[in-house]
Amino acid sequence: MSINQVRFIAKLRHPNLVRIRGFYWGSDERLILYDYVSNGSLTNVFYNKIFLYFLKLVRFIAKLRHPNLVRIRGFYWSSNERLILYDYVSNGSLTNGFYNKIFLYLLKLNEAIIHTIFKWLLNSGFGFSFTVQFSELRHPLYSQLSYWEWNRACSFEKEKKISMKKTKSSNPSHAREKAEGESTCRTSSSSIVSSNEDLMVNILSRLPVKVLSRFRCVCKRWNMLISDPYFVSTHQGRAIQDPNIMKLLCELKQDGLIRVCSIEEKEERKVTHDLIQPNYPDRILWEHCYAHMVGRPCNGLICLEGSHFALVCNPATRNTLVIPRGEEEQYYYLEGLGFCSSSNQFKLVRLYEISTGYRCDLFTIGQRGARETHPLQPICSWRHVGDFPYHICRSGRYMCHVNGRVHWIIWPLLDSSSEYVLSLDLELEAFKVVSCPEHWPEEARDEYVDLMELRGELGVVFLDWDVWEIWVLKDYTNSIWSKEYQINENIPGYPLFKNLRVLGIRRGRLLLIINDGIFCYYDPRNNSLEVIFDESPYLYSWFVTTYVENLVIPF
Amino acid sequence: MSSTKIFLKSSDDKTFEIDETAARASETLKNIIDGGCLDGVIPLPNVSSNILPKVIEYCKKHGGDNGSSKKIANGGVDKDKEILPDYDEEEDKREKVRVDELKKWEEEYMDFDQQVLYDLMLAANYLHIKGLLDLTVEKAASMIRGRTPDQIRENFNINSDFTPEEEEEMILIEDEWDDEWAFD
Repeated sequence: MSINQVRFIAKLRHPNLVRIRGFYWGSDERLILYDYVSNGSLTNVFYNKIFLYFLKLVRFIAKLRHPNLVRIRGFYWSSNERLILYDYVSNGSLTNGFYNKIFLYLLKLNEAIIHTIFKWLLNSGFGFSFTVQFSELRHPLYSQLSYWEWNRACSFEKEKKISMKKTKSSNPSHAREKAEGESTCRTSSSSIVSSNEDLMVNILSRLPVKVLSRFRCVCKRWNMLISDPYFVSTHQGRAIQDPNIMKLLCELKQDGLIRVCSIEEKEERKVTHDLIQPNYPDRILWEHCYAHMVGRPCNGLICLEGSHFALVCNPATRNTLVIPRGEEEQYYYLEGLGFCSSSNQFKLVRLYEISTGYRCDLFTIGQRGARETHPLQPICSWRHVGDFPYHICRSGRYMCHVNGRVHWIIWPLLDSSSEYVLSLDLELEAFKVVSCPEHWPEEARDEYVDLMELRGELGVVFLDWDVWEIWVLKDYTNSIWSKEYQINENIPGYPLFKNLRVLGIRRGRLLLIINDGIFCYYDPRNNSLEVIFDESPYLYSWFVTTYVENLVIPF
Repeated sequence: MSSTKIFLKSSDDKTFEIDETAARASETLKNIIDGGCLDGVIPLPNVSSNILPKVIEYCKKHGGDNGSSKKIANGGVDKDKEILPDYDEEEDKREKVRVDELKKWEEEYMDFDQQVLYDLMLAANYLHIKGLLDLTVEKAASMIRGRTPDQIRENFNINSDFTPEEEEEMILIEDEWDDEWAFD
C-alpha cells in the first residue's frame, strides 16, 4: 500500500460517506481514521458495505494497467468539480492525443461512461470481450449510490469477471503463455495427488478457514470435499491440536466487525489482527444497532446479542443464524452457547430472574456439518428446562462452558455453606451444585474472579493475599478441586498484577492478560513472564477469549 | 543392531539397498518383513528410481523411531508433555539441541522442487511413512496457502467443472473472500 493509494481512497467523497481522514497501514495493524459521527447510523453495517464496495470499484479502476495508460491514483468527484490524480509523467509521449482523449472523457462524462471506456480499453488492450450492454450502464451516477445500485454494480462486476474468465479459457495465446510459465507445475504427479482423496483431505485440513472458503471455487469436487462433514471434523480436530497458532476474539466493534488476533509461533512469533464481518441478515443490516458478544466461543461458534436481536455466528465462515426471542415478554439474560457432543448439538442458554432465583431456558441448534443432510430439521424454539434457587455472582462475566456442561459462580443459600459452582449438564439437562474447599478465601467470589476452561476441565483463578491461585475441578460428585498453578503477584521486573485473566495453555505456558491489556506468557517451570503485546489502555479484557476457527455450520 | 539388508526395486527396475531397522520406518515394508513374505527383493512399482533414494535417506535418519518425527510435527513438544512437573533444565537443553538438529536436517532434506514433493508424498503415502507424509503434506499445504483458485487449478491440473450459473455464484464467493485491500 503506497501513500498514493492511501490518498486515493481518502479522496472518495459523498454526502452519504463519512470522510476518511487518515490511515495507518502496518504489517500487523490496519487503522482507518474517520470523522466522528454523532448519529450512529453511519457506522452501521450498511455503511461498511458501501465503503467496501467503493473500495472495490476504485480498486478495479486502479488495477487497470496498460503500457499506454497512465496509472490512475485518485478521484475527486463532486457536482461541480472532477479531479483525477495520476502519476507524474516526465515523458511527454503519454500525454499525447490518445491519452488526452481518455482524460477528457473522464472529465466530462459520468462514471458509467468510464466503465465503457475501460471496456473498450480492455477490448483493445487485453483481448477481453464484455457482454455488458452500453445502455445498461446508463444508470444514474454511481455517486448517487443506493443499495439497489450497489447490487446492480455488483452484478456488473460479476459479469465482467465471468467474461474475463471465459475469454481467458477460450483465448489460446493466453493459455499458452500461462502454460509456459507454469509448465513445471503441470506434472502428472500433481494430478495423482489431487485425485487422491486421502491426501487431499490431509493437505487441505491444514489450511485456515479463510483459504478453504476461497478454494471452494476451484472445482465441484473441492467444493463438496470442503463441505463434507468428515472433512469438517478432520479440519476441526487438526485446528484444535495445532500448538502453533492461537486465536483470540478480542471485541465486537460498534459496526458489527469482530476483531480477531492470531498469535502464530512457527519459527518466530507473529501477531496479526484481522477484522471479520459476519454475514448479518438484511433486516439487521438496516437497523442501527449496538451488539456485543455473549459468553465465550464454543466449538468455533459465538453468540451475539443486540438491542433487539440475538444471533449465533461462525466468525470464520461468517455464517449467522438469527435466534428468535420467542413469546416471552419478560427481560432475560442471554448467557451463551454450550455444546453437547453426544448429540452433536449446540444449546443456547438464557436465564430469567424469578422471585425464588432463576429460571433457565434452552434453545437447541442441531448440527448437520456444513451440508444439508437434514434440511427438514425444524428450528426449535426456546424450551424451559428448570429453575434453581441460587443467586448468580454476575458482574459482566458469563457462564463458562466446559465439556458439555455450563457453569456459574453462585452465592450459597446459607452463609455457612460452601456451595460455589452451579453446573448444568447440557445432555441430561440437570443442575448440580459443586462446593469449594472450606479454606478458600472470600475473594474467590469477587467480581474479578473468573471461570475458564483449562485442558478440558473447569478452572477458577482468584487472588489469595498476594498469590494468584489457579484451581481445577477434578470431580463433580465429590467436589474435588486441585491447585494447578500459583503465580506470585510480584514477578521481578514486572509491575504488580491486578486483574489477571487466564486465556489458555500453550506448550506448558499460560497465556494471560494482566492489568487489562498486557498479553503475556507465564512459564510455571521457572516463574517467568514474557510479554507478547500490550494494548493496555484500550482493551476491556473481559471480552477477550480464545477461539479455534472451524468450518462447522450447524444451521 | 541387526544389519540385515533389504533390497528394494523401483518402478524402473533399479535396485536399492536398505537396513532392516531403517526399513521398519515404513509401515508397509514392516508388514512385509514381519509377514515373512521376504524373498530377496521387494518390488515397489509406484516409486521411481529418483525418488526412492530420498525415501531411503529419510528412513535411515528416522529408522526405528516413529516418535521423533511426531515431535517435530508438533513443533518440538509433545502434547502429552504440556505440563512438566519436574523441570529439568539439562534435559530440556539436550532435547532442544536434538530437536534443532533434526529441524536443520529436515530443512536441507526438504529442499527440492514441487514435482519431487508430490512424488515423495505419493511414495510416503504408499509406503505408510507417517513422518515423511506429514512433512511433505505440511509443505504442500504451506505452498498452496496463498494461491488463488486459478493458480490451484493450474497447479493440480484441475478443470473448473461448474456450470455457468454455478460459476457466477462461485465468482461471487471468491470475490467475497478476496478481501485484500492493497491494489498490488
